[in-house]
Amino acid sequence: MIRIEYATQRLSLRFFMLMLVLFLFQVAFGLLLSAQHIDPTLLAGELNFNVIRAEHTNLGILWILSGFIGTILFVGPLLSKRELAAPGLIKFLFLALLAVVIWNVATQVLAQTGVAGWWEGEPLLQEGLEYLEAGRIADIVILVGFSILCYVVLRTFPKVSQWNEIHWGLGIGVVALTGVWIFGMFFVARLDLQEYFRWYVVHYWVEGVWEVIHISLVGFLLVLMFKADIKSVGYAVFWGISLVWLSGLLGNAHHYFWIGTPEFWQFWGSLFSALEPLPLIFCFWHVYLDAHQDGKPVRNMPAFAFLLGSVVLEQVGAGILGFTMTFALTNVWSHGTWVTLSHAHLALFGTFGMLGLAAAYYAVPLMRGLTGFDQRPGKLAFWLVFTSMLGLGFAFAIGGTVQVFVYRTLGLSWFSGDVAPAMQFAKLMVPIFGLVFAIGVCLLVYDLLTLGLARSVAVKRLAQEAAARPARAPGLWGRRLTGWEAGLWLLGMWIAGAVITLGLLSFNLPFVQHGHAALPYLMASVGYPGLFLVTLLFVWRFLNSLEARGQAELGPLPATAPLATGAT
Amino acid sequence: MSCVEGEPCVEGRKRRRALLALGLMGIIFLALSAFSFLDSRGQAVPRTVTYAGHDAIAGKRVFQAFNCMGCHTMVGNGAYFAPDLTKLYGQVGPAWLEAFLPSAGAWPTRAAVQVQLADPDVAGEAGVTGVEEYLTKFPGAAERIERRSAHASTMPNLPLTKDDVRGLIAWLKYTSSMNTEGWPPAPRVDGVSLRQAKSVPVAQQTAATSPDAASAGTQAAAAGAAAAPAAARGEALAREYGCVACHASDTRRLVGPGWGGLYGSTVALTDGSSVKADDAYLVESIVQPNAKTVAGFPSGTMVSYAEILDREQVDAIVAYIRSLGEKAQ
Amino acid sequence: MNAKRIIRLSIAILASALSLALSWPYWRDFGYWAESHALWRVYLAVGFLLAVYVFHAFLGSLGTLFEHDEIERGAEREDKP
Repeated sequence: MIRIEYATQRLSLRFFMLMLVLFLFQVAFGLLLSAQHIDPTLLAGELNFNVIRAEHTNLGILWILSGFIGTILFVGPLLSKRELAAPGLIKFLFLALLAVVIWNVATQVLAQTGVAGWWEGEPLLQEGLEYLEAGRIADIVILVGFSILCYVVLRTFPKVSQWNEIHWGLGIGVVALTGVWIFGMFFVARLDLQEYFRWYVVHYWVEGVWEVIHISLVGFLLVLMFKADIKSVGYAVFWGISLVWLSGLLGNAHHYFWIGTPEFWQFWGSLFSALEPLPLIFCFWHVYLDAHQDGKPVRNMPAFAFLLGSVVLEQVGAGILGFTMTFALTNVWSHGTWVTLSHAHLALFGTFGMLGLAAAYYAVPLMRGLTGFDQRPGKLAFWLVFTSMLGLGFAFAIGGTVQVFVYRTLGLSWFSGDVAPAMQFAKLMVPIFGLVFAIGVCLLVYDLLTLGLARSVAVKRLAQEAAARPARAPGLWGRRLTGWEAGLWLLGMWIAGAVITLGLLSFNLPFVQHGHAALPYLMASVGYPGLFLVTLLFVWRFLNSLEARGQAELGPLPATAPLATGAT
Repeated sequence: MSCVEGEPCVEGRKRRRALLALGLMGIIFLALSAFSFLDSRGQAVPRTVTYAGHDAIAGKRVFQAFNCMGCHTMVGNGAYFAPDLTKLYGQVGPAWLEAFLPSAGAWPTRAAVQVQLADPDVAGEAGVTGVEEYLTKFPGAAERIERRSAHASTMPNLPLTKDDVRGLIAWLKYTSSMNTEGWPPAPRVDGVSLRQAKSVPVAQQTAATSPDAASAGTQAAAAGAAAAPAAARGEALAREYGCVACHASDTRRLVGPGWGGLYGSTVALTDGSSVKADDAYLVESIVQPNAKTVAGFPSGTMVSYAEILDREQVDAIVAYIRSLGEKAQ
Repeated sequence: MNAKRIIRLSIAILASALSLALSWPYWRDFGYWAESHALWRVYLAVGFLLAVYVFHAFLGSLGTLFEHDEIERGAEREDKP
């Protein structure tokens, strides 16, 4: 009998559904952006690039948050062994989120006519700062929403004395999510000070708070999926979070290189962002070990595929690509170019987006009471979005490398005359991979929306067929993945990362600065495809080795949901 | 779990040490932050920067209201769709920005920059007396005029008022004076003249950079004086002096009213009266643009062309406007 | 046990030294008092020590993660002889 244990867990369903719808819109806006990059006159004057871009980034943040909220609400009762506090407030939170999304989408258009809604020196409607484009009215509603989330989470959790590391991680996560947001709610006249505080929100959200929530949720999903030991997961969560902050607190300084703050930030930011991959490597091994604890079949492959995708793209996008461009010596070149886009897309969608999708694939079948479901669309959708996102990362990285050379080394600043024509090849690749990505997203959204609603007959037949099929011997790609092999794959990724780093460093060489692009171009065209290919093959290898364990039913949630225990 | 049996458990101590290290890092971060914004650091602040009586903070509000960062970058942060604006003021100077911003859809011509320098405020801010001196002082403006003059740009026209434009220039003047610690790195080569660096198809590049293309307007204006009819000469002048950046040849509104069908029509003015758009009115609007302002348009946007065009040139432009009016009817 | 400690510490110091080399600032003019030569020496020293600590903590916790795995595997083998 499959059921979920606590009725209030079902409140998470609406947040997952909202996440999917917003995701679709975000992708549509992204496609429009890629078309405008090719033809800048497209929709110019009607829907300008800056408006579409604001919608694209804001919807991205909002759907990721919606996925976080859904996941937190789903695991909250399991972590606390009781129903969620204040279900009425959660329903209100959903409506507030919906309202603020629609409001913000509408107000961003005002940037075309320069209407910000200034009142008492604050922009009420929209404020034109990257990632924080929302105006004060939306800011305040979002702050209220975060406060509700804090209240619900903290009231649902058991007494503080009974908290384990996952409780601490999520508890600190939601409070910090709210606290850091406040730094983005003031008009700051000085550019350097404005950027200083803007990165408080953006960096400390992404590399502080979101990462903490990510580690906690990944840890708990592993507990749920593999019945991993809660104490050793707790250990991993504690040190994962500690390493995030030990590197990321001062690592924020990598945003303070060129905004008008003193030169010493270049050293602090470079050194501590060099350490920022450490928690991600730690998390990588954590997932590998927990997935290989027992050799039992994985019951919900799409959910695990997205979870693995999240951890691997975190490694590649945030860890490796972030590392390559984070030193003052490389960032001075990559800063303000498409090189950043490559990192941003892989890190944000990969790490946080895929976590929300993994949680949705885990939770939605359980909430719909399914014993099994057709996992093929989910797996196909995973491969479509995963591959095409790597492709997008490649297109942005190559475009970025060309842009660095043309714009920074040669000093050609005419975007439509010099820079864009040089980047044309990369600019064409973006909508191509974007279309594949969009197809994957449509499939994914359709699958999750309709899961268990109409296709139960087919599922039974599929299950019977699968049972009748003789077990195949695991091939070369299906063998058990040993720790040594996983280590070699990881090493391969980092070797490619080192090539990319050296490629960016080579822009400092005098002969490159005198107009010879061959060396950085060569390093980029070896490093980036190498990195993405190794990543793709590794995930293929990992999932194949799990597939070879055979099929199994979804099964009920662990009957003894992990009990809260104090830290060891 | 983290303690192996038979060995002393040090996990608690390790965790306390991690929190201690984190606390130390927090203190370092806060100290460095405090050092960053002290007055003794000598960083430029917008409070003290003004341009032609407009202050930089007002300009920042315009910059945010139009979400300029959504296409451009500022100190490298933004959207990578359009050039970085941090040091733009220092490269192109105020007159070029005055000519460009009200009608961003087209690149300013040399004459259009010259027109702006007729305003003593602008000339004062630029610290020059003539356009030659200006182009020497601001090589970015010279390069832009040489390569892009009168081409269409890919930036949309924005409904900026005169105050908005001046505020934005004040803001850019502030950012340009900031110490950004060596960023963006100064190029060691000149990409325009470097042979192997040609990123544009060669034909296009030659067309854009050759002196013929850059001065085509002037030559057409000069050579065609005798032969071409007045309307054609007027059209060349309108392009040369940047009129077309603000005035469309049809009825569309760019920055100023469109010229299509204008001639002979009745124009409503801001003071509630109306006037027939005849030769006398059009000449007056070019020579003294603020004498009569069309309803719905802010006053003071257009500069006077009295010192820039001679009477014959003004007549030619009026003839061109007349020809557009006839076409539309 | 002691050998493990020495190896970890050496790796941490080596990795920190490499990070420090990569972190060399693009731009230094020593113009501002907080960018003086003396303070730069302090920054480099403190930064290096903190980096060694973080690397060391990372290696230690990663080692424990694998130890846990060993222990749990062992426990599982005992469960089903």
